Amino acid sequence: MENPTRKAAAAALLAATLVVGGAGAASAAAPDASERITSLEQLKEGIALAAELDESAGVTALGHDPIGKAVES
Amino acid sequence: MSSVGKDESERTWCPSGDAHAPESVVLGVRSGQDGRVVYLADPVPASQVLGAVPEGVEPRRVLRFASHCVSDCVNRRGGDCTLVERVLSAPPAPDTDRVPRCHLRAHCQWWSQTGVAACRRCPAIATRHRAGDELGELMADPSTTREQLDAWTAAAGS
Repeated sequence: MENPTRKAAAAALLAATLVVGGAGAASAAAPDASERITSLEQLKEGIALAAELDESAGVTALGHDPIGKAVES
Repeated sequence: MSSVGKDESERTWCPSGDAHAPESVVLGVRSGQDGRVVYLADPVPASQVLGAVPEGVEPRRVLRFASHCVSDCVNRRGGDCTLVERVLSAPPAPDTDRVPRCHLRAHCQWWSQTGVAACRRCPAIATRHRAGDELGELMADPSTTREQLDAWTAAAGS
């Protein structure tokens, strides 16, 4: 039988589904950093935009790749 | 691989983590203009969104992932993360009274280690930095000292 405590802990952090956003989710504008993403659609729009801007900014440095690199804005 | 003796409830999470770890979730996406992270209201398994990243784009350049803080990370020193120590050398966000509304905080290694000071810098962090980003390269290097970062920051500001 599955441990309910472990299940609850995992579920608390790993949501299987998202609440789908309502009106306005189809906006192509970059999300405001003060807002939060509440739908998968919003997230995918943000990914597409970020990838587009990232591509125009140039390539990344290759080399050792420890988990957790950081950059100043 | 994980911290010995820690059960699931005690494990901390890295807010600049591995996109492909089994437990990996999306923390946020870098916003358009200044690359600051826009956070998700709720975690989404990384596996659900990796397919949305265009081919040829490294996911960690556009997304921030959270995954378990692991003992074999190059940034790990005992129970502490040295990366967040280097991150703290960067100036906090201009609006320092605000911290991200983040779903990870209670489990975040950075927050547990340094408190809200890490949160104020978190939105500016990208897991993969761009070529030519000297500060990013310094921060990413586990051998970089705080003195070296402070010297770079002082020189950049002069």
